[in-house]
Amino acid sequence: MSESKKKIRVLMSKPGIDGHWRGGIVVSRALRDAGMELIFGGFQNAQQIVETAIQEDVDVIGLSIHSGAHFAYTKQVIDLLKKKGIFDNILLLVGGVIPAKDFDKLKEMGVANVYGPGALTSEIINFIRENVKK
Amino acid sequence: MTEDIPIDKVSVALVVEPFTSAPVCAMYFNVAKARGIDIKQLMGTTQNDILTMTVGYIPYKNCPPNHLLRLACDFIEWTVPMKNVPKWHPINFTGYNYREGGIDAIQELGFVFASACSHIDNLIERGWKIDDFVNRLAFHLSAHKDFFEEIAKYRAARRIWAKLMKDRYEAKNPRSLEFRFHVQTAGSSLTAQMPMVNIVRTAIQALEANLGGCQSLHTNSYDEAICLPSEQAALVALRTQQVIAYETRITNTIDPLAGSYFVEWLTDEVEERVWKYLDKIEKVGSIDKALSSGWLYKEMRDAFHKRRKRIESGEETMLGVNMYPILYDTVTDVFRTNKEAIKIEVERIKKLKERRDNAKLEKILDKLRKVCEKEENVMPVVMEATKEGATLQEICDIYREIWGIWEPPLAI
Repeated sequence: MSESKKKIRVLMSKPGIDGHWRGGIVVSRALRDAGMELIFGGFQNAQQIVETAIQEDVDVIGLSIHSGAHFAYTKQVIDLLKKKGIFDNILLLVGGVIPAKDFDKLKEMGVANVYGPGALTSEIINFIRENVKK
Repeated sequence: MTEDIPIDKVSVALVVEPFTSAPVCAMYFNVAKARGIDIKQLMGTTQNDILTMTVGYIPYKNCPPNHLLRLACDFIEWTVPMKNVPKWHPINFTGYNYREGGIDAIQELGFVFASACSHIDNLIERGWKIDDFVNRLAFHLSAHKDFFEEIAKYRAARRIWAKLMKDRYEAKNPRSLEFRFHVQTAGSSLTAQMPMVNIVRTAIQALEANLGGCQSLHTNSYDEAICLPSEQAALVALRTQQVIAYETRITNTIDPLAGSYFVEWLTDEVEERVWKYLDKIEKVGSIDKALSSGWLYKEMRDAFHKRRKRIESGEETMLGVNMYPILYDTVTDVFRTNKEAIKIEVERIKKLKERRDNAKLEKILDKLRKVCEKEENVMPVVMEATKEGATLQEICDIYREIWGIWEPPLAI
């Protein structure tokens, strides 16, 4: 398979133990239907997220967060990605019940884009295709 | 947590699921006992709903569904027919939680009735009679967007329940035929875009719940899609109920839409479809089998997928999202949880573990292991263990040790 045809690989993860999974599942399905390879991490801590990302050689990490703890979890993942030296190779996205007031701060921290309630899956798909780091 | 609350006078709702309902409720009962309150007088509801913590939310290290079903029934058995806490509602079949995932009104009733029947069958296998316990079983349904369909749903639910009790279970007590239900307005119908519009949506849904005959009601806060409720949003939600209850006089009439051609036709239609769907679920097996085989997960997955398509295609209107779309609101106040809460709780548990008699507790936990191995009712020993300061994790870890951890057959 030529490099240009390589499928985009996405890790969808649910940091913490909050059980609101619908968003993560719906987006995963949409990305898979759009031709991407999905690795569904489920409940994972920052360590497990970064390890899976390395082992699975993913291009994108999606964090689905509905617990209100989006700053804490995102910071842990970013710090660890930087420590492992792979932060610049991975597109980090965050979605969930996240107040629009917090979008800018998450982006300043290094998140490529944030998707709140009502976000369309087509927006997410297009954003990944246009911004994936190759 | 209940320090200044007169728990002998108020009715509480403990939102915990079968895996944790025994220890959490036992802790509550022990608090009452320590205050000198007779637990036979306590009033309240435990959610204790197997489907909430399996298909409604995804569980973190729970045991397999057959054990969850047994745990739920242990709690029902110990409180109601064994008469330890006879005024308690030991289970609340929470269709609301899975309806939020995108299943329709027919599936919502199908899920709750299939689940209720599996619990009833388990208790009958234990030797109890239907009239010993069934009038304490409660339901929690959604008030969603289709105004008349939801009203027809409540009316159909009452009929189906009465028929199930009379025809299938041959209940003799007329109270066993009563369908007890709480309603919550639909969080998944609310938007983060222009959140004040959610007040209108919630008011309309609260109205349909009232017209449909709900016995208690939860109205959602307008900031539902943004954060945990702020104080102001919670107050507006409460006032919405009070307007309906005290200003409109609609609660003066029981079933005010009865006799309407459309409502009666729709009620018949919903009822017929629910019976068919219930039959479909029961062909798969009891509720624990429908879970462990993955069948219910596929139903949920398909519902997730369908709802996304409906919204993205515009078939289901969401103002501010797919019709007259507007930007996210950045004005509404956002409630933030206390970051120190984790530290406070960790400290509290450390102190508890120093204070209690650990040797005595170990013996009780050993007893719990044996009860779990023999699959006997866990409640008596869980009452003992929590009285001696056992934590939720210590009890759940014994369940995990004896029965194993279950990975849900997640369908994507």
